[in-house]
Amino acid sequence: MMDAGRSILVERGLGAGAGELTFKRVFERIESTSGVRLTNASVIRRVWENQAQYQDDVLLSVALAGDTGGDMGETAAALLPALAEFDLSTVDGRLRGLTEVCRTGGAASLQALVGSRNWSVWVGVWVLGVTSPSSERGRRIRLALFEGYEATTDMWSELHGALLDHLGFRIRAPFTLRQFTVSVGALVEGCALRAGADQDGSVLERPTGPGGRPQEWTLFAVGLEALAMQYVELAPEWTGPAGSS
Amino acid sequence: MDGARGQQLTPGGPRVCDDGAVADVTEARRSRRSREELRALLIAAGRSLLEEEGLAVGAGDLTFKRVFGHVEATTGVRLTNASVIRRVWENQEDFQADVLVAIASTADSSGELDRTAAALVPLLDGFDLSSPGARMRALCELARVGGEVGMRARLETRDWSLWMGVWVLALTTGLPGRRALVREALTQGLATVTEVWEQLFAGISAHLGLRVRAPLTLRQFTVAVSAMVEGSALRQGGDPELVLVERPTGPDGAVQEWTLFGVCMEALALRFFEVDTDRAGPAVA
Repeated sequence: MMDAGRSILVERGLGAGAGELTFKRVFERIESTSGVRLTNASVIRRVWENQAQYQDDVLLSVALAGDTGGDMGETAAALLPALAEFDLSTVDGRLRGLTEVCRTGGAASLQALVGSRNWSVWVGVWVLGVTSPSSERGRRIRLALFEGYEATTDMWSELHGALLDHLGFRIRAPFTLRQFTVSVGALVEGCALRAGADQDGSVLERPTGPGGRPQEWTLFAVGLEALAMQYVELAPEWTGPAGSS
Repeated sequence: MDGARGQQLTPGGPRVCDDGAVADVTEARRSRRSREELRALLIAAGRSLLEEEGLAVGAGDLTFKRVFGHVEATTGVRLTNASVIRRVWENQEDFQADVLVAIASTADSSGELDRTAAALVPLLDGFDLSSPGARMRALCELARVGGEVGMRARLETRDWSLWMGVWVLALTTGLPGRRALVREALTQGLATVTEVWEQLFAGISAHLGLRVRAPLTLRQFTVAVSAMVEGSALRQGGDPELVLVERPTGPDGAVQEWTLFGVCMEALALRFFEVDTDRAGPAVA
């Protein structure tokens, strides 16, 4: 039931909140996708008191899933092949590696987020949580959004930390890895919001390639590089990527 | 909402609406409002309702009946369906779409720009701009102060969260016509706001004797800052409590408080701006 509800929201959007998420439609979805036939008697007072409670539960599950589900995998997939290619034997090489991670990883994560219907539904739940009149339901949604944020921030922090370790960087005092991750998350979401409203892709060319060759940068990647330069510095005691001889 | 079809007690006299209210037809006819006036009145009332009660279920709660009630309570003007249907809007749904478009086209009416400019302008006269290093330090201080003011202004308004709701509708609604309409309004609203912020940044950078690093542009800086503030506000989730970081950035290394957004503003500013070597000092001495 929960999965079917989420699928319908992802497909049909949150235009009218979760109001369109009726038991009837969810039952039809389940029957068409799994052959399982359900009726109101299957769930009312057994799983949920009523339809409204079910809708709230679906919204909470969206909120708890966090804001960036899915795009981390696509970002990591875009970065992994490049990581092995970097020449990290010099300071310049490590800096170039960091720049390239920002360029390619930035493009991949923004693209994944913009293309994610999950994310736009999540933003819809955010709107419900933030704009709803003060109520227990609104409080629960806000709490779930906060928990979802915490969970995804933890995951992204791990990826950021691993990338910095690999390239021989560390977080500059007095900042923390978490603050860096939160800042990057805010920028990518802001850029994704913009991209949703304004289709002008904001891609530019910079002479950052080998020998000053022009490379394409998304505006988000430029900002990501700026944040990286602000938050991180070369790790002086670094001897090479983990696993290298 | 069906008051217009109510029973008329005497020809040309008061009419009992379906909901029991009494509408004075004579008075209504005497002060018949133009289509434009009605539209403006109802758009304002619709926005006001959404600001008070949130967008909880899209604009579905924004019924004519509720809007008419709001108009009457706030202005004394009594309206019925007959006042607006097929005169101003074809139906209630068209009215709702119009309200959403109105919100979308004013991407930032929160006063954030005014408040940020008001906080920054007094600082400009106090900066030491006698050396390239001092000019860059001034830029960082503007990022610190402006970042905090701008973010607080953003978080203290409900306009922005409504705009977010409209953004969701534009992207997720299953009605293609409405989606295109709202998206176009969002695009136009963003362009207008970006233009104004860009002018502010142009003035500040000229005053500090800074220029944008090639091949970047001031427009790109403005868009990046806007994205940063929007994403940061999204992260705050309506919570006005800002995370503060202490950094030794004050005079002689004195510790200063930075919001995380201010830190990001500084990062973007340092990436986008450099000292304009052709300029000796501030535009206005």
